[in-house]
Amino acid sequence: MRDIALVIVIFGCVPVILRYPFAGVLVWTWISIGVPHQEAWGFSRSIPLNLIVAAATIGGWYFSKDRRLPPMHFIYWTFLLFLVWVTFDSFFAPDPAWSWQYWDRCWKTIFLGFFAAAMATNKVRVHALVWVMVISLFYYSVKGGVFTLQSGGQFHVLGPPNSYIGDNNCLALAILMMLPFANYLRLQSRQRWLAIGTLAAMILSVVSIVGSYSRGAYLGLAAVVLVGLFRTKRWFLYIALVVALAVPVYNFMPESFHERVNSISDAKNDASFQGRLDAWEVAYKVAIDRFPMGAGFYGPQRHAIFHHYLPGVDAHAAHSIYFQVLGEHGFVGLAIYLALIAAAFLTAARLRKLTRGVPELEWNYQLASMIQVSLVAFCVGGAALSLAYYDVFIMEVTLLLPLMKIARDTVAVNEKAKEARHVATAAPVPA
Amino acid sequence: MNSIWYGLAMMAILSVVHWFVSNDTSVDKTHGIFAMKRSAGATRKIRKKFSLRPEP
Repeated sequence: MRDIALVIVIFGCVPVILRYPFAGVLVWTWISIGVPHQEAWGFSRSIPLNLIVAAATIGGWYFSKDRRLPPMHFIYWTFLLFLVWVTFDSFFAPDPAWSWQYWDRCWKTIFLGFFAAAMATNKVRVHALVWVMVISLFYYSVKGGVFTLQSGGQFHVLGPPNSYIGDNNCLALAILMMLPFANYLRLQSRQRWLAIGTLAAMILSVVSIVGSYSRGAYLGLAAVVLVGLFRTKRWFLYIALVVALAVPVYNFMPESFHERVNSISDAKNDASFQGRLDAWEVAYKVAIDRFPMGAGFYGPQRHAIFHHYLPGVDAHAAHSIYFQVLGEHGFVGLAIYLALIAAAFLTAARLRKLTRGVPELEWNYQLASMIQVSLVAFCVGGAALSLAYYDVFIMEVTLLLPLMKIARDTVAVNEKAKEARHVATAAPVPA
Repeated sequence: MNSIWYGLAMMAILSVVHWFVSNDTSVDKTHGIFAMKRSAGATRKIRKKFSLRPEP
């Protein structure tokens, strides 16, 4: 049933996408982040829905009247450089066939980000894109929150299989990264029911993160709460709200949750943490041995490579976005990746400065602020999870490009209007 | 229950797409493949091939 509905919806969207290419970006984002085909459990998983939507989007974009490229910005060039480097690196991977299959996923996501950056030319489009990103993850987080409440927090909240977010840790981080965007939509909603509904979904999403039993996501959540504390003007109310939410949730969760949380402070004696240290050691050694290359996409976790460095130890995924990129694409890849993250933070900060106090760009200011918070969640939570090429990260970074362009254009128009008014008032009155 | 939730999420995505199509004011929408940027000669060839009326 779900399969039939999904296929009808996707094929029904194709004519709309051909007419309005940005609708293709929306549907493409939904498939990419929400992976609805993995939740349909049937024949739709064998249909290349993503390819069909991507082809229609690219076709529509190519034949559109206003076919344009993403705004030229340091982020754009850095992303391009990263893509070139990981492609080059994949040729030299110990097992290129293994690496190419993940490369295929990565370049498509980056290209989706570029298309979004090229076509998100106004507030309506940016807003629609953020809604799609949020709904795609609300689907899992609201369901996960209800599941956690229903089951008394006894079980872990998991994501869809065969996706970036299948694992409980990755899903929790993805939801955490989405929360600032949901908050942006809540702030921007004119309808009261929509704002309240979004707030309720956000609270359930937090419950879902708690129910994931992911310590990496807990650290990320703590970092997000801390950033919120620095940002808010009504800090007393903020602390009261955080306590009002945290205390009941903590008391509601079972003993296994408390043990999980307490194990963060006792990481040295934790087998899972030791596994992470092993994976980081392997990633570092791979990068040193293969300098300037790495072992290709998801290469260091291959048994042959992992056991070459740590024989007799169970092979682990990198469990850190930084060590993941280091092991897979070497020091050069990591340098480009870090430059990308730094550029995203700086661009968001510049955007906040540029749009602060401009009434028509208040939305832009709020979104740039929320992207920063989401990046903090990614950088902190991602330090213990393998989610380096996650779609939401790529989308939020590329989203900064059109936001910056819109802000610069609007500020320039405002300044011109101001100058014109100044000249008009300064002109001598004819006798 | 899960299927209803799945359907609701799908409806929500579709309403966002519909909201975008209804509210977008930008010009970059296609009018079929014939809105593509091309030379006048190419346009004439395509219109002749598909027996299309000339543009007003």
